[in-house]
Amino acid sequence: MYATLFKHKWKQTLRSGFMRQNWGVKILLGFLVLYFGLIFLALGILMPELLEEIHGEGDVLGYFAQYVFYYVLVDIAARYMLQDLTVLSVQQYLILPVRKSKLLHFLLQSSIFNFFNLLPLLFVIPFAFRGVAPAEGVIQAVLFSVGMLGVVLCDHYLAIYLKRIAAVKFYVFLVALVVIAGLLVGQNLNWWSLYPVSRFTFGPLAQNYYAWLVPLLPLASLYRLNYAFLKRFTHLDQWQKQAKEVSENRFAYLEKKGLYGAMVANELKLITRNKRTKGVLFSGLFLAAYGLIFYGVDTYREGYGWLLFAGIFMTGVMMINYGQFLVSWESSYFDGILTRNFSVKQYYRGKFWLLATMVLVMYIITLPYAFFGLKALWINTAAMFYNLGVSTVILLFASTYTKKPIDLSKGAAFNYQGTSATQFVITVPLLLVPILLFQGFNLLGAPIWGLVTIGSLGLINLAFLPYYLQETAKNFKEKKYQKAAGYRQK
Amino acid sequence: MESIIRIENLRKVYGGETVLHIPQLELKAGESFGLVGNNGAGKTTLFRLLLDLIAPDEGTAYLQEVPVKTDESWKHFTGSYLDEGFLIDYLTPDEYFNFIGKLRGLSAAEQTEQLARFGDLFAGEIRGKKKYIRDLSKGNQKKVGVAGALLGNPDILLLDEPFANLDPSTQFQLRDMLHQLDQETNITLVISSHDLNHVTQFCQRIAVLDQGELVKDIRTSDQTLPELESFFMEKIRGEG
Repeated sequence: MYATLFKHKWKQTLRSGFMRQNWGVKILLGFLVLYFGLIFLALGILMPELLEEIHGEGDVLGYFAQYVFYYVLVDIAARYMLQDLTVLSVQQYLILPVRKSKLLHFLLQSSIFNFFNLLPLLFVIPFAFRGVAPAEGVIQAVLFSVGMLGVVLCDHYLAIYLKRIAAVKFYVFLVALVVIAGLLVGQNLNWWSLYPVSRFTFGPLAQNYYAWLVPLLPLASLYRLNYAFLKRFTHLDQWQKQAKEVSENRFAYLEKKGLYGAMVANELKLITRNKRTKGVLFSGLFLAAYGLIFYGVDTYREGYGWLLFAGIFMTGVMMINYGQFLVSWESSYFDGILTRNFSVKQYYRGKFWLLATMVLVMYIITLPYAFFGLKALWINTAAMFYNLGVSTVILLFASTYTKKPIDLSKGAAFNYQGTSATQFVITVPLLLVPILLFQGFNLLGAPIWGLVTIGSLGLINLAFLPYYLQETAKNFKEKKYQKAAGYRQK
Repeated sequence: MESIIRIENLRKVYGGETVLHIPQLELKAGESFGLVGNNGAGKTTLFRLLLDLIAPDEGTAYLQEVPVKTDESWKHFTGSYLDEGFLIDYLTPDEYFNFIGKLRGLSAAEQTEQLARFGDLFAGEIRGKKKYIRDLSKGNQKKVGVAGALLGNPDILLLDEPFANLDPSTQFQLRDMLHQLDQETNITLVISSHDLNHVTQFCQRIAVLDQGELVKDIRTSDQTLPELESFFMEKIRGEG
């Protein structure tokens, strides 16, 4: 029976939407997999040298153990966001003569076969032989690998448990987010150190013959926990979300603000009421922390180039993430849009206001960077104006070319539906051009003038907005039949 | 009298094959026009051409003498519902009506009044229920779509298969409602249906589309239903 289920699972994977992606996307993903795989492999092989480089000669295994807890936290967060829940939709098996418990065990066990579980092994095993074996012997190296595998699987089952539970209770997600983010941020700001705890907990794995048995206990408990949770939800009606009462008033204020207010309100409803768009929104908010990478490092903080990149990226990321699929989000009712009584130009003006709102929101969220010095404020302001005046217009125009439908109900992570070459092409003017332009001034020793140029470029462009909207509408009218035909193919 | 819908030599080709060709068709204001035909006869294609959702390979369609392909102003006096692709599925029905009402420039009072006539049809399942359109049944989605198309009292109403997916009671209610609308106002109705009974009961004029061509265009009389029945029976025999 297990064999049959595995066979079905295999077919499901092979015949899934992912495999039917176009070649460009497949190659890109293949490249990413290879890239990260090689990085992890290199990390594992060079780990002893790396640790000695940072900490000086000495206790390599101890240094390694210091970081494991840190890794575990990041790993859980990454898995939570990126890893798909393996749902072999068991629905069709429930009516067949198969025991439910067997189905659930299968569901849980087959979830192990996952890129996220392979990745850590790529650096654990090389390190076991280059780091552990010389000091503690080959047997210890093997046992160490087994123990680490146990830790990785604990991560795995904890992440899917959190994810499953958070699907029902949203506050679980918030609590987990606060705890994990709090621990990591506190560590980075030197409020506390996770290193001694980590060293104490994970150190023995590399030095004690029996330590590998320890992770098995939490692993078994987490497995039981997942199993018990699934067991409670084996009836179909429990999987269906209770059609809860929805709030209609959240955007009431905007709706009163004329046609464009109503359009923006509608689109905000689209964003907050669908899974994938919600993901886009959250990732945007999350990436507001991106600048910390650069502002936290002295050499970057004293320069300008990377900070401007961070500024452009942070103020623009939400708009770019959402805007690159503009109109495609509405593919399921595109025919309706074409028959409604607003003109195409009005439609696009509404879209402009939406994108502008996103830029302003991100600008406000990133205002606290001014604590790193007023410089950050000038940089982000220039970036904001560029995004407001130039990037918006580019995204609007680019949106007339998309013709791939998007199913809003699917999640955001690793979802490439609707992706085409357009998305890659437009990032060049959005991110690269302003940086290059600025670097011209920066190399001449006039970074301030660079900021002024970029900011004014945005402002001047904004003055020509009516012209751009008109051109966009014109192009839209030419392309709309192809677009509508594309969107109808689901 | 000026025609409210006019088609001049309209042709649509897919992959070298003509799927619709109508040399000439005119509808007068206030007429109710029923469109029947088997699957693939070109009914939806005709609707889409009239609404400028697909581009014709030849010819032009006019709504109130506005060429739909080059002028957007027809949107102001045309209501339409072809399929769920017209509904914004993450809104509640009330939000959807508010949005359409706003586009049509209706005051809150006008909107309430215009929706009031759907009271029976909605059977208490549509309004005031805080549920997204995507969570409604197919039948209820259709009711929302048809009601939305009628908001703002358009001069022209285009409905593709409005009776499909509706339960028997609702079918009769909708039919009577459209009939009443036809009698009391000057609206021009274009309705396709697989149910010959429904269309013959209230459409003044019925056309049969077959393989992309208008093969019949009749003023409805007692003879119409038998005539249509024998036409479609013939088709089976002809093919069998």
